Amino acid sequence: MTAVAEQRLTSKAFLLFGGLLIWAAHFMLVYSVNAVVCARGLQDLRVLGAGLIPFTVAIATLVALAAASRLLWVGSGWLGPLRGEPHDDRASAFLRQVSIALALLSMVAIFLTALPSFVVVPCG
Amino acid sequence: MTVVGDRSEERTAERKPANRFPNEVPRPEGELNELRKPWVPPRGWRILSAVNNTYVGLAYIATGLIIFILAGVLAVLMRTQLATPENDLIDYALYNQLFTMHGTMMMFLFAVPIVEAFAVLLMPNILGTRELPFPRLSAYAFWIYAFGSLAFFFTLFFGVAPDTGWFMYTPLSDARYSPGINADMWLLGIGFIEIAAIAGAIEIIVGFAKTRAPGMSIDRIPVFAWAMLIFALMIVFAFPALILGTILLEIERALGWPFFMAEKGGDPLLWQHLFWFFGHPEVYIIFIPAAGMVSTILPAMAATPLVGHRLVVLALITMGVISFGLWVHHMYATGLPQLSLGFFSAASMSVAIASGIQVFAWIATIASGRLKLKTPALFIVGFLIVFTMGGLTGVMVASVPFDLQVHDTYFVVAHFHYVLVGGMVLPVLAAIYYWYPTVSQKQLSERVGRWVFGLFFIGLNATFFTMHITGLMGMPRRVYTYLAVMDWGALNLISTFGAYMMAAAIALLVFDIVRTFRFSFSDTVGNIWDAGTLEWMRTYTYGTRSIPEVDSRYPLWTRPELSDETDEGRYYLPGTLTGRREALVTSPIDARPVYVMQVPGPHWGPFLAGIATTIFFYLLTFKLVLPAVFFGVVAVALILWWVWDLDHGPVRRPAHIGGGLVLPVYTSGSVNHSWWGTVTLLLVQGAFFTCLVFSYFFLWLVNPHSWPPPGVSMPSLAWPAVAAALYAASSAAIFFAGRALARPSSGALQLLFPSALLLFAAAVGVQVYSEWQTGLRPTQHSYGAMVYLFGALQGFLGGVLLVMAGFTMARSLAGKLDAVRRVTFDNTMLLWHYATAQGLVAVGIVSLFPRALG
Repeated sequence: MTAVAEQRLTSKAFLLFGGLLIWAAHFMLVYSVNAVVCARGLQDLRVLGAGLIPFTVAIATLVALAAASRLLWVGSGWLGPLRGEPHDDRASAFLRQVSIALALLSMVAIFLTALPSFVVVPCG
Repeated sequence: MTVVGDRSEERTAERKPANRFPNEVPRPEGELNELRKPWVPPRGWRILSAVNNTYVGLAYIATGLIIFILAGVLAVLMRTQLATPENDLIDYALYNQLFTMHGTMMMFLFAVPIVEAFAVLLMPNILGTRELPFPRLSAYAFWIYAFGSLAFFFTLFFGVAPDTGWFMYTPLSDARYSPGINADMWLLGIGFIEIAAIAGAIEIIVGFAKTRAPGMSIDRIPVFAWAMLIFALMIVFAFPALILGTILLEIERALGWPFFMAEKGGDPLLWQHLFWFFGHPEVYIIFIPAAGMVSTILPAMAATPLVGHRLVVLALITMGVISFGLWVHHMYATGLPQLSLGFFSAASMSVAIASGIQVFAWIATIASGRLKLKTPALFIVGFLIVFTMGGLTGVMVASVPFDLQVHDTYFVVAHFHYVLVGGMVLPVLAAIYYWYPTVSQKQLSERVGRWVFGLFFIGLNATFFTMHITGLMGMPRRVYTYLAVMDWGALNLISTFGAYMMAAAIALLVFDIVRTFRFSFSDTVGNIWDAGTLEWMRTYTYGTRSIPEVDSRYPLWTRPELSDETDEGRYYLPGTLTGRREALVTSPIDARPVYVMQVPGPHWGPFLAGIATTIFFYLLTFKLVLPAVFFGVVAVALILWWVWDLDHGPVRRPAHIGGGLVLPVYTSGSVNHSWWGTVTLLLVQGAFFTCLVFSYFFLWLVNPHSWPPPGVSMPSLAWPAVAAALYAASSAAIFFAGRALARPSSGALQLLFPSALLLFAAAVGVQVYSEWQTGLRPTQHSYGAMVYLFGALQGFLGGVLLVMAGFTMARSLAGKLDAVRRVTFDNTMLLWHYATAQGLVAVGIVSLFPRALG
């Protein structure tokens, strides 16, 4: 691997954490929204016929899942063999496989995080 | 990804033809002597100035074990008190100190430091490097830990040990309900361990990224190193929450700034959020390195590669991140909205997936190999059983309804001891038995080891399994005695008996260590387990004779002759280029040699600074501010003393290290290891600031219609605009100072640094005075406390910049700084721009957010 390719790959290695960072952003968002809505007594507000919190969580979850699946879809493009590099580069393959698996796992975690919003009373 | 595919590499790696070694043999006469000379360790009492990872790592482990024993004695005392109902051996006041000290010492002073100690000792050899990048920092971390933790323990004998639980919940721990210095002992006394942990984390992160043997690409890094990386990153992001919490509480206790006092707009729950945002990841901070140890020991004991290497790495990363989303599951009973609890319950379930992956990988490894049931393997098997049980009860208490039933009962005590003792202490005991032959001429007795395991394993289950039942029967935690009519007596007696068995096991282990330990670098027992990782190569004070090239995850399995070849000097850097201690720096992904790092050698700075730092914290505890400041200044001066003779610059031209590679002996900018260290430190600072911002918004949330409180007017927007402009101008001055480095004789640097400092100081002054002139005071309300805390933090950063600017200018005047030899400047510049960015965000939040609310 050339020094330039290595440098490009180093920055992309941070994508290992991409899926989990999406999970973290989603988690903090839904937690914060719920905390603010409950603290300010806004839980009875309705948006398009749905409660404010389930609505917000649903939108946030769809966006997060879309982002994670995008990471999944283009993961091989980002982390795959770089131009001019051998296709059997083990380091690239390792990064690609682990980041894709992490994106998948993150999607499960995002789904699990969203689930209680539709079955639990928000501010009970 | 396939699990089996992970193992193919170990089976298929080809033998390296003899003519493809980087260096020819025999090596030139005198080369070995030249290599050896700078690594000769100090003798006699001068050993205190040693910074070798082996010395420091061993001393670190020994101190950790002493703390473990002392904290264990406290547990035995508590169990003795609880052995029978209505026992009057220990009164409630001492009991409170005992359980607080036991928890604090085990969590802060044993669990975290001892895994860092293992990292310091083993990482260099596992990664195949002569030394980690910042050995003096590691030595300093060790000394403050050693002095600080022992001093902390002795507070018990003066009746001033903390007594409000290792979690220090407010309002119990505030000045009204805990007016003595017991709580201060915890808040300030724990400060040194925060420094030590972060210093160790920086060493591990940069060491992982920069000092691996050539060829140890990211897919070939041993799981132990991965685990240590995740552990260190977690420290970087979790410890700042604790540091902030302790600072807030100490400021509230000492100065009356209300962060947690409800009547002044504070909220005790803020403490819990901050504490558990640290506290829950802390559990994984403890467990993940232990899991790394298991993943390293198990393949050797089962004589087969770890099944699912990639999946295990994935699991470690997942746990490292998702464990930050679990903190509220310690707060289920605090009245938070039901749905909020649901989010955290879901995260708890998610992290169980990652834990499960690891457990199955370990079971599959055992199944695919042939497990040698030696002592380390026994502890691993014990770990799998106990940790799995602890994990299952963890899933139980992660369920909100169940948790509410068993909250604050002995069921919870049973659960977390299964997780912590099972998940961390058993692997550490396995690690002691497993790696002992790398540092001793004699191995521990296998026969005694079986007794140690048997006593400990049975004792552990006797102690803690029964607590599940006493907990379900309703026995609350933290009670110093109980009535006979509760029928908890028999179970408690069994628990106490078990505790004595564990104590006997540890006594037996200590006896065996004292009997067998004969320290040596090179004349050790050696690779008695037939392990495949690099730490089992022949090593000396300078690590291996040459730096090996790695071609698999288990290099000694694929190339059994690697140790001999390395020892003959056939691989990279078999001598010294600069006459100093050196290590080979490689690239972060594919471990390609990049440059030869000049490694610092022995120095008295770390030892003396360790003493001064400890004295600083303890004087502060006793409110002796001026003497404390004096020792603080001394500590900083000593640190600057040891840093002064670093950054030697390009002392020679690039040179051959073997294999046709010509490497420089100096670099600067983002390639340099010091740059990585500074960036890691800035991540710590960034995490701290993020926690502060969270605290600001949290207090806003609990103060509807009073942010700012009634009667407080905000300064006009002109003030923050001026402050922001001054911050930006100070950074601009530093930018131009960077350009002036090319002409060190011009004097521009000596002009620009003071200008930048003045601008920064003016910015902080404007930021603080703008609030002061409105009549707002920090003691009135949490709003004012937060606003002034933002200013105080900027003031602190200004003080750090003052020291760094002075140091940089001094190096410039001494001719140690120029356009090439510029690492000192780069580090100062990085911190400066960060401080500016933080100042701008702080000014923006304080001046705009309340206005945005209308």
